[in-house]
Amino acid sequence: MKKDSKDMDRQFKGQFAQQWTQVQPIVASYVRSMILSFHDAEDVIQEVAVAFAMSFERYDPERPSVPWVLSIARHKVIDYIRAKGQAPTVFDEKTLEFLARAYASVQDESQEIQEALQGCMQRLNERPRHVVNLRYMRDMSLTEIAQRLGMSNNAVYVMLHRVKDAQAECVQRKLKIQWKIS
Amino acid sequence: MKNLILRYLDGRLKPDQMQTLQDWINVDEQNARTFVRYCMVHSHMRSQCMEEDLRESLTMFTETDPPSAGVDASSVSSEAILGVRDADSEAKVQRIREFAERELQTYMDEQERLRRERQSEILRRHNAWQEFRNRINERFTHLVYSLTAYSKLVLRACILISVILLLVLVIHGQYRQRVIANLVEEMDAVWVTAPETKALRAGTLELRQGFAEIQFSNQVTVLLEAPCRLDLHSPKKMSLYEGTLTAKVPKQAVGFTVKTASSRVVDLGTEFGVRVGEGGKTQAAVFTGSLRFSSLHKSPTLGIKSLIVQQNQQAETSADGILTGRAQPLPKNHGYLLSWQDVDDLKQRQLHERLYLPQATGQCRILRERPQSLQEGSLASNEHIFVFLEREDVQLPEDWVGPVIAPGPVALEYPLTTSQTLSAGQRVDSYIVHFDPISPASSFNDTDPGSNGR
Repeated sequence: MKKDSKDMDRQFKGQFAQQWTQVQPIVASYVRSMILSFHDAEDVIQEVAVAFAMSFERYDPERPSVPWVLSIARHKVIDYIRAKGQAPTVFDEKTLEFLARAYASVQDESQEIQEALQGCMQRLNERPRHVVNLRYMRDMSLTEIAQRLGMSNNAVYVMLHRVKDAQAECVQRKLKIQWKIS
Repeated sequence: MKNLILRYLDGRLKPDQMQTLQDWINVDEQNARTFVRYCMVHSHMRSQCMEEDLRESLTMFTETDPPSAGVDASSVSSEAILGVRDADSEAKVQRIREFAERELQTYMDEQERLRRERQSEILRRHNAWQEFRNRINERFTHLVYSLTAYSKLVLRACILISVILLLVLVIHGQYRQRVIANLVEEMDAVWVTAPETKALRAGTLELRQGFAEIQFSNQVTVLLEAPCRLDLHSPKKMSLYEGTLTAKVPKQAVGFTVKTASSRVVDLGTEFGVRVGEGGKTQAAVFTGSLRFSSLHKSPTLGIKSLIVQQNQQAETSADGILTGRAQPLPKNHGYLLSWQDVDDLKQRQLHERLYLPQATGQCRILRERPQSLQEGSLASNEHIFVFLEREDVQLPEDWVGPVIAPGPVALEYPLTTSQTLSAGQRVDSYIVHFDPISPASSFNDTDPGSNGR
């Protein structure tokens, strides 16, 4: 009996790990785009993972997992926003739901974008790469980066802005598509 | 819109721009998808940076084991890390420890640098604050010193002035409060403001009716006749604004001065009278001795400024203070009251006029008031026969037959039996003649011709 139970547990964990690995990039992207503090976003992503694990028994494997997990993520983001106090620079709940559906509809593009971005990131020069690393790896604010590198806040902002713009353009070129902005 | 999306991901969007972006996303799914794609780039940059960080760390752990040794840093997994740890050689452990120590040292150095910067900033602010405080203190001290120097001088001047004022007030108060004269006698006196006590201090007196006598502390005696208004200044000086006075000045008080609106009367050892009439016209009369009579007119060229008035002379000024001429002989009926006897005589004359008794001479005395009692001994005198009014202006109810004495001297042998008739309806005054000798032995002097009544 014990062996059967362990086998079932291992099987359950394996299924969960497989599902989470599939949905994690899209969920992380959703949470990071709604919560701009990387540190807070990682905390919320962990909370989503825990909540997904807790509710995994009720998950129907026949149905797509992304909308399910994005729904969990949306609620966690709302909880976070409410706990922090509604700031004027966050999306309202209706938009959060609308964006969750949009994420679900373009989930297949996530892998392509990720792969294209790898090549684009390697083409960055040393100084922009250093700035990107400090921002995206060390999670430093623009002010901290400016102090660290002896630059003005605005110079750091402009550099990051141009890097992201260039990366987005690079990804589109590699994917040979043009994202429409009306 | 792309810029708005990128600004949003940098956390630099303003509220109105946020609303614009949100509205744009909600227009259609195409816009939402575009926004999601940019967010994916943003998120994957974060993921790739984190993976790179992880790879660098693993490379540090496995740098002595190049990929050719079987570990691919780009595809390393947790199992690979555990595998490294399972194969734990002393050298690898040492490298990990050294790496950790270097990272820790770097972190500690960074923290120390930040701490020093903070301390330096705090110290700089503290020094700036101290310098500001010192500057303020210095200026304040300088200001206080300046004020102190001036204030000492001002304080000393204030104290000196205060002491002088205090002394003046005290002396003036004592001077005002000292008794300079006494009210020694009065007759029928009615004061506008009656003196509280007989002791008189500097101030104004106004006698509306009657007579009063005051005696100054230097024994100067002044007899006042109403209506009279005056000021007492000192034992040596007084002012007369209205009325008549007579003054007796002993030798020790020579120089006693009576000032009027138009003149100054300075005693030179004398007995004199001053009368101030309407408008300030002043008359000075000397009964004994002499005095200096000065004009107070401001024009030095008009008339005589002053003159000496000798005994039995008088002089006067006009209302505007001009001496009207040299001293003139004093007429016999000058009208000044020199003593209480004169006052009494004056009162008698006034009574005679009021009682329609033209004259009462000799030992007949007219009483101003009805006596309280006529019982024997209550109004007794060996020297006088008293006459007083019984009823005034009475209409006779019927004819009255009796002796009638015609005006004029009445002799003792006047035939009182001669009767005449006063008819009814006539208006008459009735008098009572009262004589009550104290002792029968003390006979009424009926042989003295002067004692005959009139």
